[in-house]
Amino acid sequence: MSIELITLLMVGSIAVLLIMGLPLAFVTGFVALSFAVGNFGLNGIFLIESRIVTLVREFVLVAVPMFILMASVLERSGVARDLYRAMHIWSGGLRGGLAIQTMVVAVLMAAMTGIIGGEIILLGLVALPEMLRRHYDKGLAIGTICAGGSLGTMIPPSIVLIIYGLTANVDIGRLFLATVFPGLLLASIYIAYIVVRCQRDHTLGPLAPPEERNLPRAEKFHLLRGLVLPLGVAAGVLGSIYMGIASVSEAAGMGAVGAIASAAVRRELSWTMLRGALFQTMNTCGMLLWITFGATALIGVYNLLGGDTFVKGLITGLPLPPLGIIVVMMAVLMVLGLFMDWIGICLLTMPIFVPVVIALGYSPIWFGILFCMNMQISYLTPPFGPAAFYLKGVAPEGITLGDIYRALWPFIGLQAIGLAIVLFFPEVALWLPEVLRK
Amino acid sequence: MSDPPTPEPLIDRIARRIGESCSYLFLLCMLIIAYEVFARYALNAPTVWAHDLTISLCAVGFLMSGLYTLRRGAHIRITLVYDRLPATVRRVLDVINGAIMLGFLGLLAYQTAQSAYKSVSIMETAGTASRIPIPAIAKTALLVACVTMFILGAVQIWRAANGREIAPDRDDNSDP
Repeated sequence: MSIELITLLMVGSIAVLLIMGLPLAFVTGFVALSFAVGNFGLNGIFLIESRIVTLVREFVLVAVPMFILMASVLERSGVARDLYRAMHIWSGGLRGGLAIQTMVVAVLMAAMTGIIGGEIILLGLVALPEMLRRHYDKGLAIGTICAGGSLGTMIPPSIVLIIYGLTANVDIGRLFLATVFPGLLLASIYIAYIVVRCQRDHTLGPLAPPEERNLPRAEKFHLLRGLVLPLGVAAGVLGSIYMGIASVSEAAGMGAVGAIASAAVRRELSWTMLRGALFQTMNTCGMLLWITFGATALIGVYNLLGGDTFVKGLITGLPLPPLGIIVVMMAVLMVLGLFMDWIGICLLTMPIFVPVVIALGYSPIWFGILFCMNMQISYLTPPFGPAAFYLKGVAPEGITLGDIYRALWPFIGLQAIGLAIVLFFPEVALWLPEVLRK
Repeated sequence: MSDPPTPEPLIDRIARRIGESCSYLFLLCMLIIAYEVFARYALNAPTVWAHDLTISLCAVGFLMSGLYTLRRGAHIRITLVYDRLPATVRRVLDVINGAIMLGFLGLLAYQTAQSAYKSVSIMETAGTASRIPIPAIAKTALLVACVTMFILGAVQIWRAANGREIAPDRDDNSDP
């Protein structure tokens, strides 16, 4: 069989099986197995087994359950609610202030979690009712929460960048440094958009009544006391990775310890809560890891059949300048993002794309950040925009999936602007790791 | 489905319990990491075994997590087209999808059984100082995961063929 035919058959069977509703983990696993057995006989199964066994021995992967556990514990404590209340102090006197406040809280929460689902759910529960009560524009409120909540994987720690680092063989500490400014850039673009829209149309984000503009001093103090520890834990985790004191996995483990300790200090820790957080960690690992097994097996088989050379030739054969090729890759990622989850995309495309990126003379760290920003867009775009589904799950009656998707379009545009900025000015991502790690 | 809640079927309960028990491995892992960091910086005596033990525990957790997620019916899939199909077609698809999953798990189990046996009989290590037999542990866990998922998957096909719910009363706090 020629590699062209193999590629066609593989893509075709993946598409058909996905449409049939077979979980992605088994789609990739089954297709990998079929092609392995078809080409190498029953011995081909060994290839798949050994790829799975090699993968689970990666120390870096230990960071995944630790960060998820950390996030699951924090989600179950009242940190998000307190953080939101604490940010209230300066949000009343400004048009659109509540939306800006939501965005700031989203960034701070993102520094404590590396996944998007929990953050959007929390903001949907805490910030959405508050904005609607104050007669904020529904679309603006929804967009702020989904776009802000998606920053969870852009601001370090980020599970997306851990998996990218593992796949592309790039230092995760550097990735975590490189993503800081692009993440803040996105947040600033969102905030600028909120400010401009609310200034031009005063009905979108009305001012708070004077009596709601401040909090009593005692409450301020109380809120701050409860927030010092969780914010300190987040700072400690990132700090120890950046300074090279601990590996990413160790920092993640200490982060989980810190999250549990914060919950205990806040008197929110219970056996039920910890069990819930552990079971959620188990479930999320099941989703992420089994897709990883299938996808790593699939790409292993494909490359063994000559797929990487084939795609590499296809891409580099394009009559385009190097940057044009990167743009084409971004377009491919965007199209895949419409239908697939980030983890499938990362594991299937990066083993092929990253060597090309390096051969073109670009930094794989920069490309990882571009990938991460691209996935920000994929969280919001229909038909498979997970952000919308998470928010729908907790949104008040009367907000439909259609309302949510309509609200997201302007923010998708803003994300594209952010992506373009980092694409044309790689320094935005690369200067920090260069300055801090030589 | 509109009936009063029925007790959780035995096979589902076993799968859930196995998954829940294995989730404590992650907690244990966290404690080992904390001890290792403490031992390194406070006692100035890093351990030989913490690194490999963490990997082994997590590997078992990762492999067994597939069973737990299967029990909760939470493996990520695209239901855009599926959701719009009539119930009878969906049922047929459930059976076909289940059979494909069993094919994958069955063949993988067949291969893993052989290599796990070999690996365990020599207590294969990764050649690290701790001498913890990581490959033997990982292969055994993969075999157990495949076999248990195969059994649960077969029961789920049976349910789909009879028009019953595949993963009954799953709680809804999933989160990728």
